[in-house]
Amino acid sequence: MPEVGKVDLKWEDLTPGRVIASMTYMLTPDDIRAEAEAYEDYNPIYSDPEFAKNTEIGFVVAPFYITLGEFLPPLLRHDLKMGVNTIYASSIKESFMPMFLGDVVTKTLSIEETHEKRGKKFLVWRIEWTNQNGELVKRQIRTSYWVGTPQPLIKIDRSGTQVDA
Amino acid sequence: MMEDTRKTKYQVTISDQSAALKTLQYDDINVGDDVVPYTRWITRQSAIRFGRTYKDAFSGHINPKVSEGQFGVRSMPVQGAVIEAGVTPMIINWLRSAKPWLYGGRQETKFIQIAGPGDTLIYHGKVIGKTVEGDRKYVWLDIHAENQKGEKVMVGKARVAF
Repeated sequence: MPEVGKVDLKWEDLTPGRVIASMTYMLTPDDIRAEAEAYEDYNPIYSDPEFAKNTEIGFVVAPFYITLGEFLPPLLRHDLKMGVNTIYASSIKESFMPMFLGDVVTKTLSIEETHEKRGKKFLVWRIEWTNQNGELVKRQIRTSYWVGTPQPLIKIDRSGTQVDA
Repeated sequence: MMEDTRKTKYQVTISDQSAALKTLQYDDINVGDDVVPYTRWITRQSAIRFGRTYKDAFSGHINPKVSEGQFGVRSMPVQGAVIEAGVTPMIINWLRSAKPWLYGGRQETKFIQIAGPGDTLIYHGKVIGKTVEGDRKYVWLDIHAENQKGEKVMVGKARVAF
């Protein structure tokens, strides 16, 4: 994940239960296409309604791994930067039901816990997705190794454009 | 007689019968079964394409200067999300259905080492258990991805639900 914003996330600020960001999306064909293409996964169930209607599910669905673009916009709004502070170490992902085109999905990022092991710091994120009916459709518990802000630091403006190498 | 075929927008040829292929059900699966391996090639485009989904134009995944500071190497490791995503096509190709994966699927992933442009990852799965809880039936798998040297890059477990 990229560096965003101007305010560094501090280890001391990572209080369990703290909600870092929440975003609501209406799921579009482009959302699904962008991620399936990113993963070079061309299963037509993600893009072809004619194909999908003959499958067990019957509709175009979002892939299990969909992220909807991580959390860049809300982090920018809060002037927080995140991602270069951490290295993705492990995760548990669960899908309780599919996300369909047109679903209005709210994705919430919060701090699950922090801990130290063998002198290293670990940050555990909880990312939960609910649909327009309030149903939990997906959950990810994501553990990252905390490395702090590395150097060299590339500065960007709020649109994500590099302004100083 | 030949079935009617057509190409999807990605130029994948499918027939009218493709989606109706027999799917694997709980009783068709046995402990010890191997999942058909899935291969993917990691290219610089892999990181760039995924980075675009969250507007990443500057992280160590796609910028060698940042890579050195962020990961300690200039080789621009691909995002962990890209590595773990390969489990999904492996599972769906094996079951010939997305339903058991999207209605109750679970994936536990631990990253062992980095992978980057030029690596070939082969995903493997083996059925290690079958359980019944109420009206749900679960199949549990050991999963891992190894690189072209046979080194494990990612290990974990997966669960599909019927």
